[in-house]
Amino acid sequence: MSLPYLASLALFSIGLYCILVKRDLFKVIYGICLMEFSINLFLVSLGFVTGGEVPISPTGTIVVDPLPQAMVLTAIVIEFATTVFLISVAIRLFKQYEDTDISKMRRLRG
Amino acid sequence: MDLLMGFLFIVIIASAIAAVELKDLLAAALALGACGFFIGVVFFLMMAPDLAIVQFVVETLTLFVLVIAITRTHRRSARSEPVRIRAVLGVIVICIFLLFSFFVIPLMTEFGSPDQRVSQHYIDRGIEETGSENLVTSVLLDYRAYDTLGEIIVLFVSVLAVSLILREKPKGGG
Repeated sequence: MSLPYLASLALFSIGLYCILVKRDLFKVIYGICLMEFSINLFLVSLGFVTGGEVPISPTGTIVVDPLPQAMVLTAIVIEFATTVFLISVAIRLFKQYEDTDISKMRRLRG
Repeated sequence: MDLLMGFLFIVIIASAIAAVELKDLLAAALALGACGFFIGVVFFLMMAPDLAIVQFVVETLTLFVLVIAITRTHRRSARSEPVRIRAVLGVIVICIFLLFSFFVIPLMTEFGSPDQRVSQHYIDRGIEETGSENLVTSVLLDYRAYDTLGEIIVLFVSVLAVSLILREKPKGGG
């Protein structure tokens, strides 16, 4: 039963399609966000143990893997930082070009 | 449990498609937020309550920033690539999806029985070595504390970059 793997793969494909096809800056940012979600989901589902406990003061021997969870916790915060950075770049580009269309951002202008 | 997770995955993928295809950028941002929140629920079902809390907080903040950004710019999404390019790229992405789901996913460890060679040590000795009842915290702040330091540095650099990019020029020239 590898449903979570398939779901995260599908989410990654949707994000990739969004980045490749859309010409809007914000849509590209949404695509990057979707790919980040899929990677987080994939890593967490790699550490899941059937019938495992939450790794907070465990009583039994079967515990869900805490290592991917800690790494994904770091990754979520870094993704937030990069997303906010991308959004601020998008706002700046909108001020410069009066549009969010990527295909209209060819010329350099000071 | 499996049924609930399957239903959640359907909702996640539907809201992701909505986030990609909606023409209104604000509505697409809401769909993206819904996707993130349902992923938080899946984290909770996969026995990761810390992650679920962080995902909820970060998703709320991202939605907030996106709404501010969209009210400062405009709401209509720009048009996509022409239909022919869209069709070709869509077929390529679907081929990648099928290729990976048929040839790569069967090679991975079965869902629910991971290889815990590294983390078995953390599970066995984490509480006595670090004194933290929460094993995720013990990994985050003790065994791999330098990763967390790097995360803080990335946050700091991002704050610096955002404040530099969005700085208004002073009015009297100069």
